[in-house]
Amino acid sequence: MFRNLYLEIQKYRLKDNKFICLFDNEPVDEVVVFDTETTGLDPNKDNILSIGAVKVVGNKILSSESFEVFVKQSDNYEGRSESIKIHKIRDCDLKNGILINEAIDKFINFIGSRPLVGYYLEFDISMINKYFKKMSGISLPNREIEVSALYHDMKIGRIPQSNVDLRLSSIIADLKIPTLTNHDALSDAVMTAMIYLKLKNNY
Amino acid sequence: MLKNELEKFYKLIHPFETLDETDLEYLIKLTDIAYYRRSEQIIAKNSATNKLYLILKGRVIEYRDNDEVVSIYNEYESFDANSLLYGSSENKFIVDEELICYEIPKNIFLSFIEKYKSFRSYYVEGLAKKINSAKERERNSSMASFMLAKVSDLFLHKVAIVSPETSILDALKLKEEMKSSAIIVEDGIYRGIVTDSNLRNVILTGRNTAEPIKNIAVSPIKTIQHNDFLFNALLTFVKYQIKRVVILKNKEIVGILEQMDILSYFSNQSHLIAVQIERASTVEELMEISNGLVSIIKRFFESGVKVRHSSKLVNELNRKIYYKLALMIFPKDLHSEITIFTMGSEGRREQILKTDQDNGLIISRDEFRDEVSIYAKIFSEKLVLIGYPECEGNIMVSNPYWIETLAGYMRRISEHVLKPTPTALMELAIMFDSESVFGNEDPLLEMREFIAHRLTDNLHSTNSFASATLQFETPISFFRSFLVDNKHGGELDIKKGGIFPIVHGIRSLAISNNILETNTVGRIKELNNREIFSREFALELIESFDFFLTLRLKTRLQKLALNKQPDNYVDPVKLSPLEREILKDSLKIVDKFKKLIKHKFQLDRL
Repeated sequence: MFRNLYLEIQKYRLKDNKFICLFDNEPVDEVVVFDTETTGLDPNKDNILSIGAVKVVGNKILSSESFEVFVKQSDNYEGRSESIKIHKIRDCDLKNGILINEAIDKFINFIGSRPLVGYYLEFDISMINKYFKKMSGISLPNREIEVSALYHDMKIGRIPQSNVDLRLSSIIADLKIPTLTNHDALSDAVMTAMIYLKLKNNY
Repeated sequence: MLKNELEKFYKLIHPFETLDETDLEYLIKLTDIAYYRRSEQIIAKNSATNKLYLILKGRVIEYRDNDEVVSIYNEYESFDANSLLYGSSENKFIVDEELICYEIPKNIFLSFIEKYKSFRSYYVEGLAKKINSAKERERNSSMASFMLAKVSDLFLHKVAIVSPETSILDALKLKEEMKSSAIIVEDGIYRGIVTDSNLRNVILTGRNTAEPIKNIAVSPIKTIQHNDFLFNALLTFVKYQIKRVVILKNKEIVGILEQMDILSYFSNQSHLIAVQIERASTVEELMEISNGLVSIIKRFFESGVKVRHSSKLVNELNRKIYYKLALMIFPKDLHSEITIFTMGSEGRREQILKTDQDNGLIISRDEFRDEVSIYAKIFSEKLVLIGYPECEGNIMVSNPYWIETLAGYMRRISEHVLKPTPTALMELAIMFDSESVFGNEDPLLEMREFIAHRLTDNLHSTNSFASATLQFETPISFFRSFLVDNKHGGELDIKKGGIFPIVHGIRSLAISNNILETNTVGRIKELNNREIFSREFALELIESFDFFLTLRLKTRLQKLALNKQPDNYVDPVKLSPLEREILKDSLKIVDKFKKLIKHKFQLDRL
């Protein structure tokens, strides 16, 4: 009930009608798992380098319809060397990238009204919102599913009062998820999608 | 990037590593990732699937109907190409360990099959390999046949039954007369058994053989009902450490089962039958044994024995029956004056289920003709009784045409070679494929050599003899579809289409290369030794031939079970997809073989 009220308010605040797809009815048993690569961990001052996302329908990760964009950066942007080291995103990848507003447009179009799934989703969503708010007047209204929370609940349910190791690599190892060697946004989104499917089906 | 990830994965899987860059990229774009829970069914039996699954993590098991494991698929393995190739799955696929897999669409997989040889040779395996896996599937019931066999399926030893007051000597006489393995002493209440070792003791201890038999009988005896499982009989032997058990039908004693019988039943069934044939003393007994042959053949078939091997054994047993019958019917003084021989498929040791008799007789001198003819008629009649129906073409010893001296046969052979009508050629063909089953073997060998010489004397006779290989069209089109006989319910004649061309073509090659071996596979091997064709082709030919025989046997057994007349027709629609594919491959090989024959005997010039 509150959710409906919340959606009505957001819809009312929405400045640009091209984002109205966000308010469609949620498709049954579909989510979007996504991840962003950024120049740093501070949403206020860091930028998005790339966004990777996949739809999960039922128990299937539709990697054949995956979403991946690189965002154009100004020369010598802040955090350049780190992003090359960590994300293996080279200058040439970003040169061919698109402007951030276009990237957000495409991303919104991709996710529609589907719930969003991610690992430390809060950060990724606030990175998106940093731009999306300026464009639309609202924050992403989609439902959010945090896999580390799902994992935590599952673990606590089994061993109460324990300290749950929530590092991504630990979760992957514990759930016996095949590890992808690359750590770009899309690969991470796919791995997170596998974690999500496993948790959804087992616990 | 995810693309690199998938690229790496595909590079590790044969034959995907052979894809060119464009196709690999295309494939990566179309790849989905799926998750399946443990014990989820991914592919149901007889369902059409539109994806090929490649395992990233987890394990899948392929099960047959009866939950028998067919195959296990682990990481970096794919399944189920056969479902995609043949339109529906033969078995079901169940997740055994939580599965994450890549899924690729059917269309792209099929396009790769078409484009890449590596895909074809991996997924559409070599013919020989395919046949072996089909045979593997047929093998499933061998254990079941052990578990399900009944005591009554076995030959039971006759038993001499005497009253307790019978003297040891009289009882022993009866035992010898009946060729029984033990003596049962019975008077309604009392039941005991006397075995050979008991009788040996009588002699060793100097006992009076006029004593009543009850004095040496052992009681009580172990019994088992005739419709009980063989397995229980085996348990009885082991449990009581005995060597024989008495078989009852309700309360009546019907025979004795020896421990050896069970052991040989499973290790060497043919040996047991051979012993039975040797012990038989009446036509009725031979009849009974011969009836049992069908179930033996079935069991061979079920346990995956190659038809070309089992047919040899079965023919060996047929020969023994022929021999034994001849021994019973022809008076002793004629034995060395005659040669009885079988012809055609029996002569080649390729007759698997008993069909018509094809036999002839050579007499040493003309003066025996009349006397031999009388017994030959009886011989043929009794063969019919035993289960070898009369030959439609009247090729049997009851026909005076097939009782002849060697010189007489030779004259006829020469005439046939000079006037090679189709009938004459076929007669030469079956006579060349002959094997003696009784009497003096030498005249038959002479006759066969004579046929080979006369046929190879001049090229024209050899070639016109070989030309029969091509007389029937191979029932497969250029586009690999079957050419069925619509007058015969859409079935195809596997004898005309596959078996005959191979048999006759090989026979022609054997004659022209002076090979006296009669068996087709034996001839192919010998031709290969003489480098008439390559080893690879020889193997393909043998496998195809074996497949035709297997298929014919299978459909004949099915027709017998439905009380239909077994014939040479096979309905392609009723075959499994795999069998259909093999049949197509085999018919293609027949076509290839016909070309070779055409070339070798220059038949396009005729």
